[in-house]
Amino acid sequence: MDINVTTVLNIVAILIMFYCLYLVLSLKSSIPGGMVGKHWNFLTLLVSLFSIGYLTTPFFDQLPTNIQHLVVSFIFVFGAIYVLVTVRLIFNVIRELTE
Amino acid sequence: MLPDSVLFRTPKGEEMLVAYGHEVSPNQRHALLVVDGKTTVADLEKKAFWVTDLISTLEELSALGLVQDKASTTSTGGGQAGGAGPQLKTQLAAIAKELLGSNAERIIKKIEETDGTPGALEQALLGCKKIIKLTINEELADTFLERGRKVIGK
Repeated sequence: MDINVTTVLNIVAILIMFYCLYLVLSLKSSIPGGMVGKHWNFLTLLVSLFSIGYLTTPFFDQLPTNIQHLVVSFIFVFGAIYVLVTVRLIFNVIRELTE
Repeated sequence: MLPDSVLFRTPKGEEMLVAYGHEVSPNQRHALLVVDGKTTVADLEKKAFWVTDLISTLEELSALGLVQDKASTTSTGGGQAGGAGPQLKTQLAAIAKELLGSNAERIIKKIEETDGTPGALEQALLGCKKIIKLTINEELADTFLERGRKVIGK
């Protein structure tokens, strides 16, 4: 495996994603349920999925092109879902705190 | 004084602590400080080793009207309307424990940190309702608020 800018970025992304996984898992015990708790389980699932997916990125060049495109598309879709869930969660929390 | 009695500070006792009144001795003051409205006299005796002859000191405080037995207050029906902050807090904590079980810790802490006046307790209840709704259980949040308001007479 050649060490270049892409590899370094991939490694940084993996480290950040695993830090996120640590954060969502460690906060889970403080949020057993409620509005945030319900979303939190789904966010934990997505972060776990991303963590696994990111682990494969250093080996991306070994995959066939059509599979690479499919993986990128999946990352886009789940990324969009993640952003949607997070924004809705923030929206609901702000609404609840300001009502 | 019975070992399983639970004592709380009366409004006069609270004032005495805040005002650093010289009407009580340092030992009585230490005893007054350890009374929390939750712990039994027997447990206080085990924990508060720095208070000399705790039982007698608590009896002295009771005679001075600075502490009161929770059970006796409940049986006489006192404390609901005026200023019995520690007792109201204990009742609110009991509701939280009953509704939320092991998740009640944060809520109880928030109630305990609140000033004992009904107004402050109502504000704390509203805050607790939000915490419950956001992080514990959406359905139980309103029940907690409703029952809490009944306790503080709002």
